[in-house]
Amino acid sequence: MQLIARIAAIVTLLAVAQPVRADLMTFQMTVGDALASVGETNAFLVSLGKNARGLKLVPGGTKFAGITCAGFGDVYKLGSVTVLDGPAAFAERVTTKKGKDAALLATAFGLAGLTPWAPPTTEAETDRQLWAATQVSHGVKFATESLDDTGTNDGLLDASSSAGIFRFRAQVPPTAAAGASYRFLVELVGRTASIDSGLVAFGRQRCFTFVDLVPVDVSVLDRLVNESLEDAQVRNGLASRVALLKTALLRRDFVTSLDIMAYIVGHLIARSPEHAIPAAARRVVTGVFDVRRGLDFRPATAACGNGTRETGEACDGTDLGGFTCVSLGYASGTLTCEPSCLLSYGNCVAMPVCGNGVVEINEECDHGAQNSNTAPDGCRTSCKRSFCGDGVIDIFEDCEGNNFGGDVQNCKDLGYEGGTLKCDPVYCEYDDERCDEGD
Amino acid sequence: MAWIRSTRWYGARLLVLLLLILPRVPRLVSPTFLLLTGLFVGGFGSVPANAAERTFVLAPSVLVSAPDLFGAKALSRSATLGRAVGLKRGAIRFAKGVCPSLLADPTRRITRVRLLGGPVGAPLVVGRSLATGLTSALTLMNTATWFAPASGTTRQAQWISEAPVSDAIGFATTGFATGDQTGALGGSDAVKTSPGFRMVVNLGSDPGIDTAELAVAVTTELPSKKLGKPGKRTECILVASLEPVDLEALRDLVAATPLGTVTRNRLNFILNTAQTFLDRGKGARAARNIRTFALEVAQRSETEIAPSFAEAMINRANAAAEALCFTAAEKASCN
Repeated sequence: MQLIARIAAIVTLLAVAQPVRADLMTFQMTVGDALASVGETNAFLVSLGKNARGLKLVPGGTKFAGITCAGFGDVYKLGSVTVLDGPAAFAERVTTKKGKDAALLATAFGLAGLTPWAPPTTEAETDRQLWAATQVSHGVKFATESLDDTGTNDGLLDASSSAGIFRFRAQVPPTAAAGASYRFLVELVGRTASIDSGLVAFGRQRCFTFVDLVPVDVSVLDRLVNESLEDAQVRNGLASRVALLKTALLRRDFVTSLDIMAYIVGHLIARSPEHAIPAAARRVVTGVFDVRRGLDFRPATAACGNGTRETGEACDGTDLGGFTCVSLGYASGTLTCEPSCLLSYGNCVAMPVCGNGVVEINEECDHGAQNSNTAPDGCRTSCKRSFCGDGVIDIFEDCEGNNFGGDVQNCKDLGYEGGTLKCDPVYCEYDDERCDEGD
Repeated sequence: MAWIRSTRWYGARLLVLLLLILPRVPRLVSPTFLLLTGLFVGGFGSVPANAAERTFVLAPSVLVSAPDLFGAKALSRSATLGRAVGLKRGAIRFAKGVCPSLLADPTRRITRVRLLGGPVGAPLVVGRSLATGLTSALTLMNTATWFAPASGTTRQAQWISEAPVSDAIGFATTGFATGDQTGALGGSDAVKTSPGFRMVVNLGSDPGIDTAELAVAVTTELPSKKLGKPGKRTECILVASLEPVDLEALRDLVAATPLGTVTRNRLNFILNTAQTFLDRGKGARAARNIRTFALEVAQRSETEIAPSFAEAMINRANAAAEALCFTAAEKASCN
């Protein structure tokens, strides 16, 4: 009986203690995000009323729990940005008034809906010169080398550097809605700039804020496509494109990746059932551009040609990232790296077999026995994706040549008085230029 | 000439403003009276020559987050705003208005929204108690001025456009007078991104590809405690950064984007075609052209157009097409 009770207790414990699934996601915070967060957090603290007791207005911002947040970006240039894992970090970082200030801050920021996350051990980078990322207790810190110097302003950032990026990875739980943002607690440290080579004492200020960020990982597109788009045909068509995009990114084939992303956005517009893109599809478009921003990132330390493959490079010198011709689907050969740090397949020996179900070099797709020259949006027997001009009206097409599909045969079917309906040979869309409006 | 017309326009508003501020009406023969009369006579019915008709939209998501966004902006600039910004009962005060957060208080809801005519025009609309110091506060926030003719349309359920008045375009819930809050906008509407209000005004200065800073009066209220009477109301006067959503905005974006000649000509050709349809009163056809514009931008977004520019053009084109097909009748002809 005791044994059964123990087993039941263990089962209950396991059921209760089951950890929430966490995904390793990549986030990019801009300098502009960090500077704007000061005002936004100040407004949030004001809105808390009694929950932010003692909050005072100071010129350019607020003072709360002994922390003044004012004048960031103009009086105080940004010297460091630390992304923290939650309000628990306050106890360690704010030790004034025997922890009372820390408790006040923890209470106030506890109401902000911060994302709980686990700091990673690596993979924090920035594109700002003179800045470096380090792991610190409760988070990851980006700081300029000159923050502690006495005589230089090098690396201090203001609004003119708002496009600068701090990039980090974090284990975060999935959001309730696809494409939703995560809210991170951030500690900013600002420093006044020297106007006379450090002969005066520098003013310093630190401020706690929160920043809302959306991941830039391609996996976000999976959820966005599957959960946002209602039309099954459009959804399935785009899901296959997202799968292709993932494959291309895994192979670090950036050229194809960018091509696929442009394709997704274009077809979301083309297939929108209304004059404008519906809100759901717009979320996918935004997600594609977010992923695109992630691909654009180049760390400040990265230098194509230094022999080390870094973020944003497919390869560098002899560092091919573990890829070989064979691992990329070739029969044999020697993979090389171009001076632009893109992989070169010129010396790989291709032996693709269209129809074997494996996407090989020179193949856009290969669905094996499912390859078809008549199925809409299918993979053609040439192992090319369906395209405008292949004679089949695909899901993103209105027409093909003289074939206008079932519902529309002429201008009148589109609401015109008459005229001659044509099919655009490039986009396979109705060309109603010669339709008569009757006015 | 344009300067003279502009000065005359300001004169009328300045007169009314001064009359509001002056403790008593000046004597008929006093220099003050003569000055004010001059301003009054010179100020009627004039619009700057460079004023351009621009379209703006407001979505529920924009409105309910506006007090917080404006609060952030006002606090960041409080060093220059001085006493124009302050704290009052857990909310940010700007001029004499109080802007409580709708996201922090789920019981508070927006029941009336008015687009105000800039630093000089705004005090004439909001009433004496709110007018004091408003002109200088709005000027410090770089608020844009707009001129009549102006129009407002709403498709927000349970909202109506208010009767036109000078220097304001107003919208209110149908039960605004009685305190019936049906349709009022609260924090839960923060996810509703589809525009509910459209405003067309003659903007005094061209914002180019940037946003225009427009003064907006937002009336928020708490739930009613007495049947038939509104709950406690708070008037917030804020400055919202709104993007114009019209063909001119798309033309400005094309002009500001690094493009090859062929692509630039093609995009301008599409916009010119849209303008032709718009001039002929065919908004639906213009919207279709704008959609074609967005599509062609997307198709060139990696090869010829930098993604950051492409994203801006696609989003603005989408908003412009949506603004053209705004009402139920317009939308029916667009789809």
